Amino acid sequence: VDDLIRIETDGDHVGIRLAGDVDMANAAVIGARIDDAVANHATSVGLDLAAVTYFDSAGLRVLSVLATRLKRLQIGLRVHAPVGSVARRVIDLAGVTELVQVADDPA
Amino acid sequence: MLADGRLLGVLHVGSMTGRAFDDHDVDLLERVAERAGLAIAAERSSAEHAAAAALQRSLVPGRLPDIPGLELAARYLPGEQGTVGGDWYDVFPLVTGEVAFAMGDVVGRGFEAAIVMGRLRSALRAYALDSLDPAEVLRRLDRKVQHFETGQMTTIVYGVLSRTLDSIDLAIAGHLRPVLVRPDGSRETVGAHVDPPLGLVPGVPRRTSTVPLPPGALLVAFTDGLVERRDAVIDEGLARLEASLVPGSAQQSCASAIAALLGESWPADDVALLALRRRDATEPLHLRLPAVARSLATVRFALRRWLPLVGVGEGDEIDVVLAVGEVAANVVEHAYGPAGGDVTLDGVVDAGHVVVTVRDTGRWRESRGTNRGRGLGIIEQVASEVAVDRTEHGTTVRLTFEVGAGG
Repeated sequence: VDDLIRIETDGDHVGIRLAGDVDMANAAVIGARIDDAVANHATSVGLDLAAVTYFDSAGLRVLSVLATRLKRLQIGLRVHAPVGSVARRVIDLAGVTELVQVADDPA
Repeated sequence: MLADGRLLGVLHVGSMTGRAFDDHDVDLLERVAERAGLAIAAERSSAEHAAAAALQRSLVPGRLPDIPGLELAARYLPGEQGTVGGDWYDVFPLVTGEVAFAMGDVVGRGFEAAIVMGRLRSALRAYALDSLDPAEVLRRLDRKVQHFETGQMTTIVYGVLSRTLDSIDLAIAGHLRPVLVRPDGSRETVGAHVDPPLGLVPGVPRRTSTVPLPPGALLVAFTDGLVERRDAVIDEGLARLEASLVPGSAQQSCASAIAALLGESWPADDVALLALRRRDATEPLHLRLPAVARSLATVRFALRRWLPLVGVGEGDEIDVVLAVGEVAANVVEHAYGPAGGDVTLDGVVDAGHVVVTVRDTGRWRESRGTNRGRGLGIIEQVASEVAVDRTEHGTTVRLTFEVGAGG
């Protein structure tokens, strides 16, 4: 999992980059890592999925749980999943593009 | 007590009652010690031999791993009078989907060589998980040998097949280079660098060579026991090996190589032989895996190997991998109780369509938890046809995809 997730905190902003395959086998661990990385004083979270090579409903589950939780905490979430990326395809297919505010430019 | 001039032990003889041993007694006891020494030496050597053979057997894979897209076959033969040497081979998938293999030969024989071989095998597997570069793995293994197994020389071929199985990165330490047989029947020793054996020169630079592996091609690695004969030069053995290999089958290649090179005679040295063949596009996809989360990565690796072979382009590949991944994930999550079971996948291509069938033998339960059930929506959007056949003996999901020509 350490190779899959990179977290950089810059003041109130938390930048998270995922890479490789995200599936049922590692989604829960990734979700927990993200939760741990976002401190209560954070104001914005950027999630970069451009380098993800597989993403399915297990990943979407993590994403929607995160989006719901951050919304309640009033922490902004921007997901970077450019058109043509594997994650963007899945996000579009599942119709959650609005929910997670997907951006084409880096988060 | 001595055997072959080597001290085996000391025979102590005492007496319960006071007595003096005269020259006659000493002479007799010396003979007793001599006999006992011979018997002990014989016993020890056969025990050591049996232990070495058992160790050797435990160190080469009892069953080669089942790797989708690859046909594997191997042989190991002990030398004359069952002499066990330090030959070993290994094949294992890496965490990231590449496939690693090794063919090695620890110089020496018997129990000692088998023990060193066991240590090298474990160390190699550990280093293999840390680096995908074979030269780097052998550098680390060499450093370990130099430090912990001083004076022990080993030759080895270590290779890593790419995830798509279309190329092999090889590093060779003093070992005979493998032979590559192409589907058209042409064959040659692979053009890879050969660096010094392990345990010889501290800090020697090592190089990785990349060898393309077209669909249907066969790579054969072996130890010198296969091609070396006391009465013939090694080139003769190598030529006979190359001629004996069969392009279409790893199993047949092993059988015919052993027959051609050893015939009826038993090898003087032990012999190991490993054949890896990349399956070609005419072979349908078939996979049977335990229905656990870890298997999902294997399913994806298998699909990513197979789909390009059958002409599926990158965009379509993402969709097929996604939909099949979702179906397989559903099997893992819902098909079985704690006892578990298997998930079986079959893939065929037919006139612009890819059909993948996913089967289980469980009785599904309703999904639990929130935010679930998105999977089916995704599957229906990317597959042109989804047929679900659910009975009390299991569930079959048949996915049909329209794929662009060529891709």
